[in-house]
Amino acid sequence: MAPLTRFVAGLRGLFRKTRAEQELDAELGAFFETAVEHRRQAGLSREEATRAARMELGNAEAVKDSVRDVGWESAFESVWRDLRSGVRSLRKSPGFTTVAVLTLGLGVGATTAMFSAVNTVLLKALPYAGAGEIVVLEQTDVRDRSLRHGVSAANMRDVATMARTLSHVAIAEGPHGLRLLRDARAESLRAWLVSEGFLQAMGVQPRLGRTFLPEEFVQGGQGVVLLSHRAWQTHFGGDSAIVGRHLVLDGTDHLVVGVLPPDFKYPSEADILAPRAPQPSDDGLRAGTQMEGVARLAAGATLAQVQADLDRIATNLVKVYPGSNANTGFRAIPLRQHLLGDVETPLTLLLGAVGLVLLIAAANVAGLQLARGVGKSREYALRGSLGASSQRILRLVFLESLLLAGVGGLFGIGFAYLGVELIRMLAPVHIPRIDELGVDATVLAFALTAAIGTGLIAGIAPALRASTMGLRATLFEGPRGTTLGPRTSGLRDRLVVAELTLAVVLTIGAGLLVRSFDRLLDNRLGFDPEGRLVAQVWAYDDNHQAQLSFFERGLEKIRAVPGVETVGLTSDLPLADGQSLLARSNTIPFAIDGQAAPTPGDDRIAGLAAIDSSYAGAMGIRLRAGRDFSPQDHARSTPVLLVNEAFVRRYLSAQDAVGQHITLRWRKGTSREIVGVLADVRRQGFASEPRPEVYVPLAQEPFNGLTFVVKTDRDPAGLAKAVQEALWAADPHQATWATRRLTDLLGDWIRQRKFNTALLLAFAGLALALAGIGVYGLMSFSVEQRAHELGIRRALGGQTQDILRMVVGRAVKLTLIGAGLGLIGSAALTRLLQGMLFKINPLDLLTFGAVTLLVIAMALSAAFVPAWRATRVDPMAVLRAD
Amino acid sequence: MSHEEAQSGLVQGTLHMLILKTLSLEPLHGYGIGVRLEQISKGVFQVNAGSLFPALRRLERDELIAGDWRVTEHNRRAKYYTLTAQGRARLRRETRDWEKQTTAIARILHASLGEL
Repeated sequence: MAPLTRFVAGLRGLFRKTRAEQELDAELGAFFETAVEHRRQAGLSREEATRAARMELGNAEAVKDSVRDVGWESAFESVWRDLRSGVRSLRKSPGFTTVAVLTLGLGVGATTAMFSAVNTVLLKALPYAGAGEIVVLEQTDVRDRSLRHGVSAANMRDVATMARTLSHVAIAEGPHGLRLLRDARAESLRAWLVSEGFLQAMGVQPRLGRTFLPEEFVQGGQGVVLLSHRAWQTHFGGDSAIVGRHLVLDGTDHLVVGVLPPDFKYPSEADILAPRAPQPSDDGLRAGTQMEGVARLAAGATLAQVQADLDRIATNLVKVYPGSNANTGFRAIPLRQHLLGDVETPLTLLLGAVGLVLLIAAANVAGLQLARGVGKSREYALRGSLGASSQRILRLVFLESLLLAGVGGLFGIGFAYLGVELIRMLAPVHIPRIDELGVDATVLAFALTAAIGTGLIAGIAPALRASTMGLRATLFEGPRGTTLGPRTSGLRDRLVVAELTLAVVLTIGAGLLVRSFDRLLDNRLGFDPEGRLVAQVWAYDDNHQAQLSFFERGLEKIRAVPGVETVGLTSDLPLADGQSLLARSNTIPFAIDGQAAPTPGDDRIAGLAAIDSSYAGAMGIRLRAGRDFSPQDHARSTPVLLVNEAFVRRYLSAQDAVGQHITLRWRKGTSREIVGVLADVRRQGFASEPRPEVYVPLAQEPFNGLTFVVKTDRDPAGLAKAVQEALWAADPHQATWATRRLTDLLGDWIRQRKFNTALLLAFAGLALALAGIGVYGLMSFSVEQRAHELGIRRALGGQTQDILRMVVGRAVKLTLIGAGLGLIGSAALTRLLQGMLFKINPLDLLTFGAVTLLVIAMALSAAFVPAWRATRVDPMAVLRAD
Repeated sequence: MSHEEAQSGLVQGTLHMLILKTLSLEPLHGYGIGVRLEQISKGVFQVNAGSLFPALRRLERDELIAGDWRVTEHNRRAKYYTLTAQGRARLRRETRDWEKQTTAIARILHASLGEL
């Protein structure tokens, strides 16, 4: 009984199975014959002896089974045997197998692709040490917490000293455009200045070289920089000798001290990090600025404690600086939340949608298996009568499902690779970390789990049926299954109804998104994005006069480029996104001269843009009242201002805006006269509401980072090179950033919406197709099952019409039930979509109606072929077959 | 194993021992073993194929018996089982254990107060 002996014998048994089987057969044969011989000697007739011997032997198959079950090897053995029998039986019905495998493959593939996106964006840990403890700090308005601003250096310095729940409070200021001068050409780099402690707060170590030293955070020392991995690759070809080299950035010598790791991507799009020394001017600026605050939670501190701590600090600061810090609050946001923004909801939703598709696929395969199961039930009954236990039959059924799932899963992984490519293609650049998207071990494990889970779910119904359907029921069902018992057809009907229900829910969801997308595009932007090229320039000269003259020269040179109609300048381009230097716009407080001081709750804030006199024309923004800026609005002329319609509506209701005076609480705080009203612009795309805005003349309020808007009658992209050349002609040391079509910016924005819509639409299509296959399968199967009955009906004079009505009638009934349930489900579920809908009621009648019609049409066409086949049943063939 | 013995009306754990004993007298084929058991027990034990063959397979696997194909008295080929040395030793041990146990059980069953 040594375990080893057993093991060896078992192994031997496995490998020499055929011989062992033959031997067992021979042995049982000998047993039987000897038994017959024995009885005959006792004087029985041949027939009597044979019968007696048969009784003595019992069920030979059962004997063999129990002999096979001896020892550990039998468990493996019988599974292997069942598996092979499963493969055989699947090969015998290639149609069924193909449809089932494709169904599972599509379901698993779609789910896996979506999961890989969700995994990459939402689930994978951020590549920072202790990322869960990193928070981003923002300044808010205590009256309206939804107003979010960057922080100021002075406030963050105070937070750092006063906070009990935070460590490593640091700021990052940027992005700044830096020009790298190499070979007498200017290349553009995006730089962020970071305060001491920033890298510690982010938990990042350089990949090459070292981090900043404390003595490098003082003014006037040797300039040092850390390169981002991307900038290192694109600008320096990944040269590992870069550390220790000197670069001339904006005319100043900088030493490269290190290269950051590739997955360090915060602040976004930084090419360069440089130390930010505390500056004397910091103290004067406590209002929100273009700085990001970061910090690490102190050991054991919770987010709620941090927020309470920040509220306490804010209250204290209001007392100390009642002027600058009035209504100023602070907010801590976990880094993950800050980076993900609002992508979490759509992605989770899409994953849910794709889960429904997988369920439909499972239901479909279960339905197909049930359909086939009627043929197979005779096989199972036979096996049962030959002594196979019900456990054994169950195993057989599940193995077949798993086999299907396995093959389907393989296809699914293939589809997943395609799906991931598709997502990559469709994905808006805004989805953080989407560039890391790929199929990895986690994703493969998910695909496997999804496939096996689907296989098991799809196996439940057929297995239940195989085990509960007694032997007698099957054997007495007649020579050829006539009409099915109510039990089986009921189960299959329910599966098809469930598929239709899920398909309706998905399609209505997708329909609502499509309709909402349509409505969005109907919204007027307030400017014309077509035929516009935009190019950003960061004037490196600190001197305002020099900046102005450079921009003047630039305008002149670009105007002279063939094909250019108009060119304008702005400090705040609508649709500007995270890609651009000027992503963040200024929001400033102001007062209307001659009016009482604002009451609490009246915030009086407006967006600010500095523009030149040709900007409105170049953008196609209409003038509603008064006059546009002109070249006569220069630095020494009367301070003037343009406002938009939203400003007038909100702050100057029922008054004539032109001629009013407004004081901006910004820079010198000059009082300005409103000279005109411009049309509203939806700065953040179709879905955004216009906000109150003021425009000041560039000549009176210079900015060093500006965007050229070039209007042309040609393809704007073709002008990019000429515009760059023109700017180089104005100053060879000036580089341009983000030279793109304005429609591209809009396109990014549209793509973001389109992404969700297109994916959901694809899933809905998949769901509809799968449900269609389900209906088709059910109907063709039932027609086949009832061929006998239909043949008789026809023989008895049944009309084609009657038969059609009978078959299609059932499909219609199921479809109506499925559609009805789907509508109810949708009514309950579309509320989840509300945040993604624009000017569309979640219960939009048109969508609900159209989808219902679509599903009914789909189901009817799926039922048509089998129904038509039913009318072709040849009565003679059917009757003869019995 | 137990349901095989239950079918044959055997005390649990004894089928293997009885087969070993039968084979210790002379090599037999499967049917012969069944007949011999029935004969010796005077018809008390009737071991059917469903119990016999799995038991034989187990004994063979554990190398207590060995089978070889021979020609029967009726001129047919059948697998004859022989006791191996291991099987003989196992039979001796199990017989001894069995006798010890049955004596003890008998003593208990026949016990009266006076003997204590």
